[in-house]
Amino acid sequence: MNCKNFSKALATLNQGEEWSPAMKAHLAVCHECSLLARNCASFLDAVEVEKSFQVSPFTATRVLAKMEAQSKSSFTLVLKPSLVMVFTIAFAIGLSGTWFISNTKNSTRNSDIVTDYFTELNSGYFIEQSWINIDDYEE
Amino acid sequence: MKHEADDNEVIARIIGGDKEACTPLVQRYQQKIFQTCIGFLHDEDEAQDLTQEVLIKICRSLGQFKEQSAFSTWIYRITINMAINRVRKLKIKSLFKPIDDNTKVLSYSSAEQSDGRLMRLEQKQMIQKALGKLTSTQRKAFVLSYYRDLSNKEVGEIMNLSVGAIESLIYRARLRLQEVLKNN
Repeated sequence: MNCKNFSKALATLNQGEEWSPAMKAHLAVCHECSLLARNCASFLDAVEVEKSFQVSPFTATRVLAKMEAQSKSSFTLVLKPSLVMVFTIAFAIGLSGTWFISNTKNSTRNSDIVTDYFTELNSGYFIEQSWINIDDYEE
Repeated sequence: MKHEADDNEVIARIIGGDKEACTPLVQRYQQKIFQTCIGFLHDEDEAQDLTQEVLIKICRSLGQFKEQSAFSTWIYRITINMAINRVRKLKIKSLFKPIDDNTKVLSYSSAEQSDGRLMRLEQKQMIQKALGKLTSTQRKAFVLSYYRDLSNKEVGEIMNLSVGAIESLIYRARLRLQEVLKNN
């Protein structure tokens, strides 16, 4: 058996399975392959160690608690955007309402003034008079 | 067979809104999921955390289980996908770490003269390095076969491959591992 065949035989060998006489004979004369066999064995031992780790006994409790917390937070997640939306709409309505009211009032006042100024008999006289209070000072 | 019948009963209860019914399901599969997770992550804490996430996902998506495969097969598929995603995330995370955590643990443990910890750390690094050289499918087959002791038929069902394909994958995985271990 050469090193290549040994490597192939080692790859097909199941855990705990006996080594064939040809493999044993090769190991006795090949230092590299005996080192490889030792490394492979220690690798599989390390896998066994990892495999033996036990899951936490509190896993079930934690899972249930997390699910509970997530369902609560998902409720908040739904609630939060809807609250934000309601407040945004209310704010927009408030802003546009203010603009509408102030605009309407202004236009009324402006139009009143313009109408008074140009359509009265003495156009603008009374208004200007009231602005500068001429009568009061002349008396 | 009885196991499958029990599973179906529990699944029906959970879908019906009985959250407490998750407990027997979690208890039945937690160790299997944990062993699969540790096969990919090689870290106890990470594996514990991922096990919880997998179990939550399973309990939440039971409605999507169409009974086209065994329940355990479905669970293993979810576990493998989530474990691979976690490995990717951890890889990306490690790129942005200024100090290597392993070195930190190593110096800490040597100061504490904790030989056991040191040995475990070396083992972990060796396994990580070796399994990291495998292709994704080789790694999946290896983990299911060696960490979960599943038969080639069971692994084939989980990975949607024939028994022959699984045998070949495991054989190639072991040859690749030998190459890595030879240079170790």
